[in-house]
Amino acid sequence: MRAEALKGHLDGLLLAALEPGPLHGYAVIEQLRAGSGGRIDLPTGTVYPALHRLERAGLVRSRWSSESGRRRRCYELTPDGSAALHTTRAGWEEFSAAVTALLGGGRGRPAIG
Amino acid sequence: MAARQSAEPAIAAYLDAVGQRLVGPRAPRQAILDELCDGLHEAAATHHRRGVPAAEAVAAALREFGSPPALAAGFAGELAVARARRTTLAYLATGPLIGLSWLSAIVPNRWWLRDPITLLHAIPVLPLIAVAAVAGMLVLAATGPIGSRLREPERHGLVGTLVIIAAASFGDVILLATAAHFVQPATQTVAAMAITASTARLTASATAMTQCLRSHRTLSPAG
Repeated sequence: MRAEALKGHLDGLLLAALEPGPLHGYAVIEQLRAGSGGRIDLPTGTVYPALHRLERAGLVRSRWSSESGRRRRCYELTPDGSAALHTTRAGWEEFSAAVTALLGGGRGRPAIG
Repeated sequence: MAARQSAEPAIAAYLDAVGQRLVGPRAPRQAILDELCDGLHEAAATHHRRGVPAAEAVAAALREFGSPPALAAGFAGELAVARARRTTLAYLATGPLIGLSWLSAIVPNRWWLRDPITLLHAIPVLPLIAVAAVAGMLVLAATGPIGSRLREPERHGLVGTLVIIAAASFGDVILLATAAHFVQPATQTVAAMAITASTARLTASATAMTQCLRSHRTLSPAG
């Protein structure tokens, strides 16, 4: 799936990747790949700046630790981030239900007239 | 820096190439490089675990992260926000001190006991102070959590910061040019301090203006 197709959904995807628990930047990318069966493969260069932007917005927070002599930055959801994920998820379910009703070949679409 | 020194040579070279293209305050630049260093090692280790030979795993990790210019460009907005916020905070922190030193030079004999309205009228660059203060509040809002809802907060932040720098510089030039007219013999010592502070800020403003304009050039065209 191309990055352009995911435009507008990046923040929600990153918040969802962090929902199970804290992850470092590359683990977030791997989580998105694994969670989507490899279909979502975001450019690495977009994920790190997006995580920093979410931190500035107060939706995630980061902590530095040490790993194999390297500094590691791990991200986790804040309460505001969890609330934003809940809202995003509800909005997506409504949107996808509406699009599925229209694109799903008429199944479940109410007859007119 | 220590992490980069202990990195794989290819990763260290890649990070140097990225670092040369990052424009912004030193601390956030270093944090970005440290984070990328860890990410690249993790990516290489992941490829290696999947059966790719070690040397090729590093090359695959570097390919995955993209070209250094493209990767650095992704951080331009974040670094511009950091530049705008730090510069603005520096002006908001030092501005009142410089202002008070000028006030003490202009209005001797316990100015804090004077009528506030009379005192305000005694300040020769009051409109510039007001412009800088309002711009400062707007920059802090645009570069804080609220600003993340704005479109291009980095651009708004840098423009606001440039307004603050221009107002402070204009104010310093006016005060320095007219100091001889309003400084009284009794306040020569404090006036000397005010003149020194304004001269130092004027010099710092030239650097800050250059840094902000450089950060602005790294942002992709608006649209």
